[in-house]
Parts: sequence; C-alpha cells; structure tokens
Amino acid sequence: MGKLVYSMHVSADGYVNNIRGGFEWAAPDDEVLESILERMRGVSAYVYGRRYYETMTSWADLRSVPGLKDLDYRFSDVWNETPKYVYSTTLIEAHTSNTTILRDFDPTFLRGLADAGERHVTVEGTTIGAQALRAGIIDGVSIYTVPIATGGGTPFWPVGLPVTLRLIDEHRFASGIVNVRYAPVY
Amino acid sequence: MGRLIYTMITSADGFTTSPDGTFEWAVPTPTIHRHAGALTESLEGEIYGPRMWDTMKAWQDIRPGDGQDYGEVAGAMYEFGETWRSMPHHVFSRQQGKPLTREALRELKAASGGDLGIAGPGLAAVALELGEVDEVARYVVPVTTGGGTPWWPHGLAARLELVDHEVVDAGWLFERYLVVG
Repeated sequence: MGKLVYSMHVSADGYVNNIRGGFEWAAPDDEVLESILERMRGVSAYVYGRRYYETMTSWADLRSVPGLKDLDYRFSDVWNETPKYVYSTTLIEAHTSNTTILRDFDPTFLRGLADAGERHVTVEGTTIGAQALRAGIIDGVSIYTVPIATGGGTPFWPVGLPVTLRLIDEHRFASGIVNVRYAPVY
Repeated sequence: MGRLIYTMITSADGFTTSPDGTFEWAVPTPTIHRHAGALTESLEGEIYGPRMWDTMKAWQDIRPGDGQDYGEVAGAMYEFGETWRSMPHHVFSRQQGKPLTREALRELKAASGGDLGIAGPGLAAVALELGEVDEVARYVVPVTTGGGTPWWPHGLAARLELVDHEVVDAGWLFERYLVVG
C-alpha cells in the first residue's frame, strides 16, 4: 500500500504564500529541486488543488523550450509522465498530460489511489490538504520550511484541527531550507 | 554589547498556546529540559512580559527539598532552577507603566556582556517590530493546535538565515534563525 503524503513549502511562520498571495520566496534551489525530483520518482500520482496545479503547469512540456538546465528538463519529464488529479469546481478541461479533473472531495477515492499501488501519492494545495487531514486519510506530512517569515497568508495546517504528530526525519539543505517529515497519529 | 534572542516553544503550526490558552502539549522530557537549560545558561539575562513572568517565577522555588515530587524530570528541573535563579530577569509591562521601548532594549543590550533572551510572543512581537531581535531560537513540538497565540507577529515579514537545526528528543526540533531584516 502506498502512502498519502501532504507536502508543500511553508514559511517559518507557517504560510504557503504571503498576504498578497505571492510565493516567489518558495522557489526551490537546485539542491532542493533535485531532492524533490528524486522523491517524485517514487510517487504514483499527484493530487492537486486548482491553484497549486496551475502553478505546477509551468513544468509541462519544457522539452519544447530551448536553453534550460538539464534538471529542468528531467523534472518536466517526470511531471508530464505522472498521473495528475486536480480538484476544481471551475476547470473545464486540463491542457497537461495524464490529468484528471475531480469535482468533489471523496476520501474513499483518494485513499483508494494510494492503496492501489506500492508507491506514494502526494497531496499538494491547502484546501485539499485540509480536507484530507480532516478525513483522517493522510499518512505522512512533508514540509519544506523556507527561511523567511511572511507575516500572514494561507496557513499550511488547517485552522481548528489539532493533530498529534510523530517526527519521521528532517533534512537541512545548504540554502537553509529544511525538509521535515511527520506522520499524523490518529 | 549583547544580541537579543527570542526563545520559545511552539506547535508545528506555529502557536505558543492552544486556542483555549493552554499548552500542556509543551511539557519537555529530561533531555529537552537539559537542552533548554544549556540555552538559558548561554544567556546573560532574560526579558519577560507580565504573563511570562507569572509562568516562570515558579522557578524561584524549584530546588531539592522543596517538598514537591517531580518524578523523572526532577534532576533536570533542579538544574534548570539553579541556572534560572543565577541570571537577571527584566520584566516589562505596559499595564504597570513600564512598556518595552527601543531605548530600553538598546540600553539593556549595550550594558550586557553577552546575549539576552526575550520570551513571550506579545513582548517579542514588540521587539521584532522594533527590529531589535537578532536571532530566534525555537523548539517545535510534534503537534498542531489548529490555532492559539502565533509565535511570529502577524503582518511582519522578514528574511531569516538558518544557523542551527536539530532533533532534540521525543520528536521535538530545535531551530535557530538570524533575523536578517
């Protein structure tokens, strides 16, 4: 059985974007991106909220763009190949490869995605992340803490939901970004 | 001349208390007690607000033979109490006519031979907004509260530089950041 992992970048004060909705501060450096790419190879599907999906579409089909770094092409290849599920009430159709649009949050479907294979399924986006945490179907949380305080924005953790966690591991990157992995204890 | 270090214990989602103001999830193990004791020992003094003083003043009396049973953490608590009593504490309170000001902070830092700690999210927010906090040292407990008092002031953006990050014990992380501005 694969694990369902809620994963995002987070500021030191706990937000995924700043008060203007910007998250340019969260752009991963090459060392972090290489590490994320390595993890992504072990993922069978990405589950996204609509906003996070739209951010990630910048990785689509980079092979047609000349002059990028080898890492960018490799990241794009993996992203294109991997099945993507996007929760949205407004998207009509997706213009990226292997992409399925889902309308209503269904914990049984999401749990089934992870249970069906050996590899992990990642959940990215705070709305879908909060729904999955509240439903009690998240096995792991992977946070990339960026050395910045935004002073506000969208919180990574759902408001009003206390969760007991077990620390799995942590890894510090040269840039000061730290990956911390927890497992919720239900 | 000392630097000012904001020290605190927070939940993984960044709160110093639960929504109801309690923090029973923040009880340290003996190992964490000793780690925090070493951090406190590295300071020349501490700056508190009235609520933090009310919480911390119990350390005035925690010592062997005080008639209390602290169980397995007793040794670590006695050590911490001794460290705590040996250092000066500066209490600021707007209500008591002694608000924390830039001048007061600069005077304390200038007069100090080493680093000073500041504790309590309300008081630290004042110092952070004045740009007088040089470093933050934070214990992160493996729990989320879903709300409460935020450790970092709302509306204040700052660049940080990670200088230390380690697992202490029982899933508690310790991290230190320089406040770059």
